[in-house]
This record gives sequence, structure tokens and C-alpha cells, in this order.
Amino acid sequence: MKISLLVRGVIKDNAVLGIAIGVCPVLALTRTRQEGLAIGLAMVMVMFFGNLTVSIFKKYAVGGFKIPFFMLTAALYASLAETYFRFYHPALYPNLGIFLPLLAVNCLVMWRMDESAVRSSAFRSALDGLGYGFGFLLAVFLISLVRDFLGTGALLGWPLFGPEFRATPILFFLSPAGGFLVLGLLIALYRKFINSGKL
Amino acid sequence: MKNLGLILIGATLINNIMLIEQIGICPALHLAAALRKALKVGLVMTAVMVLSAGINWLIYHLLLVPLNFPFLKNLFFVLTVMAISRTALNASHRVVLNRDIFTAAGTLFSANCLLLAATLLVIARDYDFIEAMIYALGSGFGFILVVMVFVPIRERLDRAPISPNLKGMPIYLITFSLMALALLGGAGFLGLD
Repeated sequence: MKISLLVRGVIKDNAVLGIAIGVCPVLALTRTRQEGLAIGLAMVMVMFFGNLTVSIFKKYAVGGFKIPFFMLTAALYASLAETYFRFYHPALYPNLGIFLPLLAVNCLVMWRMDESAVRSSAFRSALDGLGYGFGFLLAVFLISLVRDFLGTGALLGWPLFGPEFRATPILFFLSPAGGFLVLGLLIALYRKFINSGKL
Repeated sequence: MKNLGLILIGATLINNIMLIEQIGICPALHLAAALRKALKVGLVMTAVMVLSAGINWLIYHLLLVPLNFPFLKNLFFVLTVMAISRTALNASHRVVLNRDIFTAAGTLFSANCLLLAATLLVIARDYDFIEAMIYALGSGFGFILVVMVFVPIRERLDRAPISPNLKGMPIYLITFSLMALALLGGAGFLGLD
């Protein structure tokens, strides 16, 4: 019961691969696996604490005050994530740049707050946020692995196809166009698996 | 003056906010509107982007930096963008838009993503006040350009015989990939990168 809450968002109802929402950071921050991991972990943090906070204070989230309340909550945690990366990972911070503050208006965060956090208990919505956050992390890390491998010629730092491939990697996959292509093909692959009933 | 022109062209064609910076893809993917409606949405968004970039620039440089509170910028920017976009929405309902375009739940939020991004980019790049507004204007034009090209393609894709797994989002994203590839050819134009 509790486990199903957590697992639903990871695979069966994966937001990025399933309905393609919240894709801005997915496309721009998957050039290397470190970036993908960083933005994924930031998203898990924002969704977990964001859903928890909104759910605790849900009686104030009514009418026209609802959306500003969601955005301010998400902006608070996004700012915390931004501060963390600025001081503890200064090498990654310039690349993450504006995408950490942009988590505050990410459609995925807003969607889960609207669907889950204002409608269920704090515990359930926190689990829900954690599940969808991990689904996002999984998708981002997969895409960044593919792009990192094809764009630099090494899988997790290991030259899998030999030094010749590493010397002339396919730079297309590090360009913005490569990001669109990889995400599109992974969504198609994900649908194939879901439709075949194997997942 | 020359500099301002370069910023405008660069933001529209070279560093296009959707295809190269890859911000605000969601509205284009999920906004199923006709060409005329899409143009109206784009124009309203451009106006809001210019206004919010200008006002947020003033807030950041005249209020937050002198008071030494730059870490509060995200909260202030979100509030300002929210207020401006709500006002613009209410005003534009009477003038140009039918109510049904923006009320589709996802569109409003994801549109905000692009609006906030314009502000954050001008702050991150240390533009002055006029440059910030011009950059936001160019970003808005870039959004309109991409959407106007994409809407007719999308109509044809929806009718085309495509394998069911690729139909919809995947083929839209692959189309975006080709469009981004085309824009990459513009890099270096007029010495811009």
C-alpha cells in the first residue's frame, strides 16, 4: 500500500517519459552525467519537502492564493538547493545556472502539489513527491548516461568501444538538438515497454 | 545602438530561448492551438516577458543588491512574474483572447517557466536596463517564431501515419531536434555565438 504510493511515480506513471511534463531541465542539463544527477537530486529534494509543506498547510491553499502558495513554497526549496550547489559544488554551479531557480515553476512540481499534496495527508503526499521525484531522477540520469556515452565516448568514464571511438565521439549528442532526439527516442522506447506489459 | 540590435537578433535567432537554451518546451508541446491563437498567446507572453524583465531588473538592482539580499531574488521574481502575468491575462481576455486558451491547466504554469527564465537570464548575464528589455523582447520573438513554425508541422504530424509508439510527444521532440539543428547553422552569424 505505502510501497505502491512510492513506486507508482517511478516507473508506471513516470512523468518525464510518460506524458513529457517538466522537461526543461531534462533537455538542458543532461550533457554530462554529473549534471543530470545534480538536477535530479535537487528535484527529489524540492518535490519531497514541497509536497510535505503544502500538505501541512493545505487549509490555506484555497482560491486565488493556491498557485502563488505553490510557487513560493517551491521557490523556497529551489533557493536552498541553489545555495547548496553554489557553496558545495562550485564546479557544477555555472552549468546548473538558472535551472535551479526554474524548478520553482516547473510543471511537474506544480502538478503533484495540485493533484496530491492538497488532497491527501502529509505522509502520503510526501511519499508521492518522493516517488515522482525519483522517477524524474531516473529519467534524467538515463538520458544523461546516453548523451554522456555517445558525446564523450566513455560509459561512466570507461572507454567501452575502444580509444578510436573516444577520440572522435559523436558531438551531435552534446548539442541541444541531440537532447531533443534522445528524449524523443527514449519516450518511444518507454511506451513500447509499457504497452507490451513487461513493466 | 548596434549592440542592442545584436542582442535582439541574437536572442531571436542565434540563442533561441526554446531551441538552444531549451526553456519552455512544455507550452509548445502541450498547447494544441490554431495558428492565429498561438500568435496571440505568443504576443501576450512577449509583452509580459518584457514588462517582467524590466520590473525585476529594477527590483534586483535598486532594492535587493543595495540591501544585500540577493539570495531572496527567486521569491521576489516569482511573485512579480505571477502578478504581471495574472494582470495581463485578465486584461487580454477583454481585448484579444478567448478565455479557453490560457485556462488549460498546464499552459498557464509552463508559460510561467518561460516568463521567469527571461528574468533570470538577464540577471545572470549582467545586462543593463535597456539591454534587459531588448533581450526579453528578442526571447519573446524567438518563442513566437518557433511556435509559428511548429503549429503547422504539428497539424500534419497528427494526420500522418506514424507508428503508435512514436506518435505524439516523441515525434514532436524529434521535430524539435531537427529545428534546433537548423538553428545551429546560425551560430557565428554577425559574429554572435
